[in-house]
Amino acid sequence: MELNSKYYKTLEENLKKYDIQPKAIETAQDSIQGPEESLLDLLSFLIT
Amino acid sequence: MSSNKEVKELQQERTDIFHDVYDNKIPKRVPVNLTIGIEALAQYGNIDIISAQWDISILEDALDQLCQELYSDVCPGGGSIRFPSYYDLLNSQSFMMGSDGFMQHPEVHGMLPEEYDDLIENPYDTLIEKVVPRQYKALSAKEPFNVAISLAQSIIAFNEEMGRSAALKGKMTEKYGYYPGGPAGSGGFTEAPLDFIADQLRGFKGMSMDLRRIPEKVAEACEAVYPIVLKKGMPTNTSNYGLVGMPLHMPTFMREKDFEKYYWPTFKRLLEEYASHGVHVSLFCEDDWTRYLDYLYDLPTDTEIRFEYGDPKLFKEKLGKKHIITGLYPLTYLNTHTKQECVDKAKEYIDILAPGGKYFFTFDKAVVSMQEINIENFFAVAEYVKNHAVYSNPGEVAGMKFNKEDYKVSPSREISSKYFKTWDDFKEMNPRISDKGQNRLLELEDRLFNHLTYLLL
Repeated sequence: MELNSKYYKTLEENLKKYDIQPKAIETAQDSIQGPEESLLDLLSFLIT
Repeated sequence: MSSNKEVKELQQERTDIFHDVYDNKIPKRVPVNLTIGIEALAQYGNIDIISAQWDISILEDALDQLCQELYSDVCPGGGSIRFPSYYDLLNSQSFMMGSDGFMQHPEVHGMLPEEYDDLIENPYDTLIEKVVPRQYKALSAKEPFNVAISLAQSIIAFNEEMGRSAALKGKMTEKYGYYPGGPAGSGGFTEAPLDFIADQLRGFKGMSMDLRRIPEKVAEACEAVYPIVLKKGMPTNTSNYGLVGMPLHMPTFMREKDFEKYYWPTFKRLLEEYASHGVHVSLFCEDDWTRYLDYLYDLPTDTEIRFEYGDPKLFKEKLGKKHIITGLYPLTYLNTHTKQECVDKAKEYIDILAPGGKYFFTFDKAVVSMQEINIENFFAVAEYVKNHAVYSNPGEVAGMKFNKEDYKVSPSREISSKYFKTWDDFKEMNPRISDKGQNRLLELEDRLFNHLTYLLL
C-alpha cells in the first residue's frame, strides 16, 4: 500500500517537483529523497 | 605512492608552516593555499556538473587525480557552501542552480524599504517573519505544516551535504597529508552588518538607494543586526588557528564618507569583538580596496586578508607587518600568458609579499570554472611557489603579535526574539524540564539559529 499524503512525496514525485534532469537522477535521488524519508522516520517515531 | 610515515611528516610540515604564519613566525616556506570549486573540479574530471552538485562523492576520483597533479598545502577541492538540495527544498529565490549546473545568486531583495523600522525594532523576528519567507517560498506561512516539513528537510539535507563534503576532503587530507585547518569548531562564516543587510535583505540596488535616501535607517539597522551576525560567526571552540570567513561586498561601491559613517563602525567593532575572544577573521576584500588600506590597518592584528586587485608593493608596505596578506595574483593571467611568464609573475608577487612573513600564496579569486584558467600554467605556478618561496630565516618573529587583551568591546544588545528561546523560555514552555538538559537544548537552539541565518548569507 502506498503512503498517500500531501505531506509526503515519493521519489518520483520529488524528481518531478524539483525538475531533476534525467542524467542527474542517479546522484540526486539520495539528496532529494533522503531528507523526505528521514523526516518521515522522525515524525512516525514521535507517535510510535 | 608515499608511505604513511612520509605522508604524516608532510602533513606535519604543512601544519607547521601554516601555524607559523598564524603564530607570527617566519615559516620554513610560503604555504600554498590553492583550491578549486566543485564545478571546476567536475569539469576537470569530465563529470556532469549537475550530477556532482547533487552528490559530491562522485568527484572523488577527479579530486584524487587533482591532488596528484596540483601542488597545494591544503586539500585542493571538494568544498562548497552552496548545494542545490537544501535550496531547492526551500524553493529558494536567492540561490538556485542554473541549467549549466553552476549555483546562481540573483539580485533579489527580501525586505522592503518601509520595513527598516521593523528590522531595527525586532531584527530577528523580521528576518524570520518577512525576509526568510520571501527568499524561501517553501517557508511561506500560508501552509504551516509544510513550512515545518520543508524547514526540517532542509536542515537534514544541509547536514548530509556538509557531511559528504567533509568526508571527501577529510579522506584526501589524510591520504595526501594536507594541512587540515584549525581544530573542530574553530571556524565560522558571517558578513559585516551592512553587507548582511545589502546581500539578501535590500539587494545591491536597494542598499545603494537607501544609503542616499535613508542613511540613518541603514546605520540603525546595522546596529540592530550586529548581535545576529556576531553570533552567526562566533566559533564554538576558540583557536589561534581557526578563522571566521567574511566576504566583503559593498565598500568599493560606496563613497568613502558613507563607508566611514555607515559600514566601518559596526564592521570594525565586529572584528574587535571577535579579537577580544581570541578569534581571528579571514576577509575577502572583493574588488580594489586601495583607498581603504588605512582603515584596514586599524583592524585587529593578524586579520587574514585576501585581496582581489591592487598594487602588492603598496599593500605590503601598508599592512604587511600587522596583517596576514594573500591573493592579488590575477587568475586571468594564467590564460593570457605563457607558462614562463606565469612563473615569472609568481616570483614577482612572492618577492614583494613574502619577505617578513605573514603571507601565504593564493590567487586573487577561487577557480570557479576551468575555462578561466590554463591548467598547465596553474600547475606550474603552484610548483614554482612550493620549490622557490623558501625562507632563509625560519622561526624569526614576523611582524606584530596578536594579543586578545588589546581589544575591549562594550557588550552589544542581546538577541531577543520569540523565535530564539532562552533557557527560561524552555522552562516556561515545559516546567518539568530538567536543568541537566539545558546545555543540550540551548545547543540545539543555536544550531537552528545558525541554519536560519545561514540561509541569509
